Amino acid sequence: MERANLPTLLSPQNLPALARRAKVRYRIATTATDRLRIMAWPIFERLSKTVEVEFVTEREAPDITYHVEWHHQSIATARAEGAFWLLVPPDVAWSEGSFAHVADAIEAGKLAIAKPYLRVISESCLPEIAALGKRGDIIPIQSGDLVRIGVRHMHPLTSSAFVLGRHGRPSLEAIWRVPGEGVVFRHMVRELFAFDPTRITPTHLWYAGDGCTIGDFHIVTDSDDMFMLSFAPLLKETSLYNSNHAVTPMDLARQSLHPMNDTPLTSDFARRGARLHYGPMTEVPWQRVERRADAFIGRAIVMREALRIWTALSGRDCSQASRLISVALQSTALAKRWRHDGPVTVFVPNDAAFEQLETEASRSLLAREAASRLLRVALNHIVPVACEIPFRGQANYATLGGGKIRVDASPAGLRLNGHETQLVETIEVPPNRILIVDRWIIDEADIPVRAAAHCS
Amino acid sequence: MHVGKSDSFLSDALVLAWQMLAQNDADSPPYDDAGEFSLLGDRYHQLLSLDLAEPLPIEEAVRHARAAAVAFFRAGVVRHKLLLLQEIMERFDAKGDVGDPPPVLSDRAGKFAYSDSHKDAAERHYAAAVALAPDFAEALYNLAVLARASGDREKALRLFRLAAGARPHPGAKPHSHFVANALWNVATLQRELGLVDAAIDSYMRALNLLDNFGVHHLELATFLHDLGRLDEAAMHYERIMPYSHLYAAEFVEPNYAEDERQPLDPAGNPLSPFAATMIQKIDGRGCIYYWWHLYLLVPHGSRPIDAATLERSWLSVETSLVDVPLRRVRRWRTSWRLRAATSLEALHHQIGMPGR
Repeated sequence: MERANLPTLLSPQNLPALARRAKVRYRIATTATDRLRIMAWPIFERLSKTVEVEFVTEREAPDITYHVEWHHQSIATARAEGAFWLLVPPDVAWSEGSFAHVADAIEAGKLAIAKPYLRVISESCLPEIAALGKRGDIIPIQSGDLVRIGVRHMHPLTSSAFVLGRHGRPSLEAIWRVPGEGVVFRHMVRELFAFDPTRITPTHLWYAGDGCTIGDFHIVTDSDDMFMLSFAPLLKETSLYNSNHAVTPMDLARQSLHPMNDTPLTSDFARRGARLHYGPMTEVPWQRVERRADAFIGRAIVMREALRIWTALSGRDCSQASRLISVALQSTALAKRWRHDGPVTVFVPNDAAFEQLETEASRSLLAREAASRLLRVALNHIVPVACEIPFRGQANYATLGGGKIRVDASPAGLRLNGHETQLVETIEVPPNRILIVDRWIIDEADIPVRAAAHCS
Repeated sequence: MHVGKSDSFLSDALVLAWQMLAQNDADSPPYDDAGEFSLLGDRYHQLLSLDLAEPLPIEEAVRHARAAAVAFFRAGVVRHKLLLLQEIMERFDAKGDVGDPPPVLSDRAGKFAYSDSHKDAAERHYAAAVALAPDFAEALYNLAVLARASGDREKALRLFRLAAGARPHPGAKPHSHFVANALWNVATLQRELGLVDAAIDSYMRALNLLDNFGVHHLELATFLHDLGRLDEAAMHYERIMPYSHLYAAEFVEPNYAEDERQPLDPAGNPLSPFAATMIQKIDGRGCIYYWWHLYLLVPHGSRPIDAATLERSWLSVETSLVDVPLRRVRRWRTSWRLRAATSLEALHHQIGMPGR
C-alpha cells in the first residue's frame, strides 16, 4: 500500500482528479496498531491532503474473511449515504488516468464499472515499481508502461489462463498474446470496481446481481481507459493448478456456473474483451487474435447455456435426454457448430418418448462413429428463438441442425411435424426456454422410431 | 528466536545428509531404483553414527530420519512448485516476440537464481526423503509425478503403485485424496501403456475412493467411449457436467507434526525457506543456518551474513566434516545456491515481507 498503491493512486490523473470532481472519502479498514504505522508513512500526508481519510479499526486480529465482510458493510454505508462505492485494494498499482476516467463514466450516467487487471508476482514487481520513486513520492505510470510491467512480472495465476498453455487452473478468464503489442483478455464475468449501491446489488464477490442491464455498465475494453496490477506472492494457491490441462471453453462454462460466480449478466460480460497493450496497436493482428478469442468464448457461452439447460432437466423424467446432452456436449463439436447467439427453445423428449424408439436406437447414438448423427439429432431439437407458449395455429421453425419443426396447435391438440404430441412442461432458463415433450420430432433416418409410435 | 526443532543432533544429521547427497549431485541422480534408495539410507545412517558420541537406539534413529525426510520432502515441494510455475510461463513466453518484455519467472528464476533445474533439485530432494524413509508415501508420489512428466511411464507406474500402497502421512489433508489420486495415476499410466483391463480395474479402485476427478475425469469417459462401453462412458460424461475441482495432490502438503515444522521467528511465523537464516549457535562449532528446509552447520558464522562468508563457511565445513575433495562443478553450484539464497533474503528484507 505504501510502496505501490498510494504512490500510483495519488498520481495527478487518479485520486486527485476524482477528488476535484466529486467528494471522496477514503476508508481504510485496519488494526489500531497498523493505523499508526500507516499514518507515519510520508505518502499518507499526501493522501490526507487529497481526500478525507477515515480509519475503521473495529478488530484487532481480523481473519481472512473479514475483508469481504467489511466491504459489504462499507457498501451498506455508501448506500445509506447515497454515495458511489469503489473497491480500492491495498495490494495493487494503478495506471495514470484510471480515476479520471471513473469520474467520466459516473458523469456519463453509468451505474457501475468493471475493469481488467493482471496479477503480478509481488516479490519481483513491487520492488520494481517502488524503485520508480523515492519513499513518499507519487509514481505516475502510463497504462502502456504498466501493461508492460504486468507482462514482465506476470503471475502464473494469470498466465495459466493462456489458452495454449501447458497447465491451467479453474478460471473465469482466458488470455491470448498479440506478439510484441500486448494481451487480449476475456472474462466470463468481472468484479465490479465501482458502482452505485442504491441502484446495483452486487453478489457476494462483487459481481453484478439482479436489477440492471448491461447498458448500465461501463465495461473497460482498453487498458488506456482503466488498468491495474494486482500483487500476489509467487507461490500463492499452487495446489489449485490443473497439471497438463490448459484452460478450455468447458472449464470457463463450468466455473462461471459455480454458485459464487454465476450472475444474470455473465453471457453479456463474456462477450466483451479487453485489449491490454503497451502502446500503439496494429489493428490487423489484434483483430485476428480477437476473432480467435471470440470463437473460444462463444463456445464457452454455448456450453454454459447447455449446462444450464442440462441442470434444469434434473428430476424431470428426462434422464435419457440428459445423458445424450452430456455426451453430445463433451464428445462432439456441438458448441462449435452452434452458430447462433441469442435465445433458443429446446424441445426435449422425456423418458416416455425414448420408450417409442426401437431397441438400442438411442444407445446407438452414443457410439463414437455416431457422433455426427448425435450432433444432428441434438441441433434439430433446438430452434433459434424463444417460441411463444402456448402455441397458437401453425408455425414453422428452422432448427440449428438445418431441419424444420412444424407446429400445428388446435383445440384438438398439438402436433409437431405431423405427430400428435403432448407438451409436458415448459421450463424457463432465461433467455432460453425448454419444452419437454412426449415424443421424438426428428428425421427417422437419424433415430428409428417403433412402428407403433406412428399410430397417432 | 524460537526454533521449531531445537535438537542440534537433528541439525547435524541434516547437514550430513545434505552433504552426502551433494556428493552424488555432480555425477548422477542420487537414486535410480529401490536398491539405491536403500543404499542412500545406509549411507545416511553411517554418517549419522560417525557424528554421534554414542549410538542412538534404533527407534530414535528412525524418528530422526523421518523428520529429516520431511525436511527434504518440503524442500522438494518448493522446487517442484517452482518447476510447475516455470512451465506455465514457458508456453506463454514462447508465444511472445522481441517486442514483448520477457517474463521474470522464466527469465530470472529459471536461468539466474538457480544453478540447477527445478526438476533435478526436486527429484534429488524427494529421493533423499525416500532414502531416509522408504515408505514415505507423499515423496514416492511426487517422484512419480516427476517421472511421468519426464516420459518415463514405467518408472512412474512403479512409484505410483508404491505410493498407493504406502501409508500416507498422519497429517495428510482430506482434500489431497492421496490414495485415490495415486490409483488414478496408476490407471492412467496403465491405459497409456496399453494395459486395458488393468487400467479399468485401477480406475474402478480409484473411483471407489473418490467419485469425481475434476478436469482429468474426462479421460476416463473418453477411454470407455473408445472401448465401446457406451453406458459407462455416458455415465462418466454426465458425472462431470457440473463444476468439480481436484487439488493437485503433489502440492497439498500434510499438516506436519511439531518436530517436522520449519523453525519459527520470534513472532511465531515460519522462517522463509528461501532465506538463509541463522537459527542456533553451537559452542565451539559455529552456527546452524536454515535454508531450503535444510540445516547448514557454518563454523564461526558471522552476521550480517553475506554470500561470500556463507560460501567460505560452507566449503570449510564440508571439507572438515566429510573430508571429501570437492569438485569444481559442485563448488560453483553451491556458490550459486548461496548467492540466490542471500539475494532472495535481501529482497524479502527490502520489501518488508515476512519470511513467507
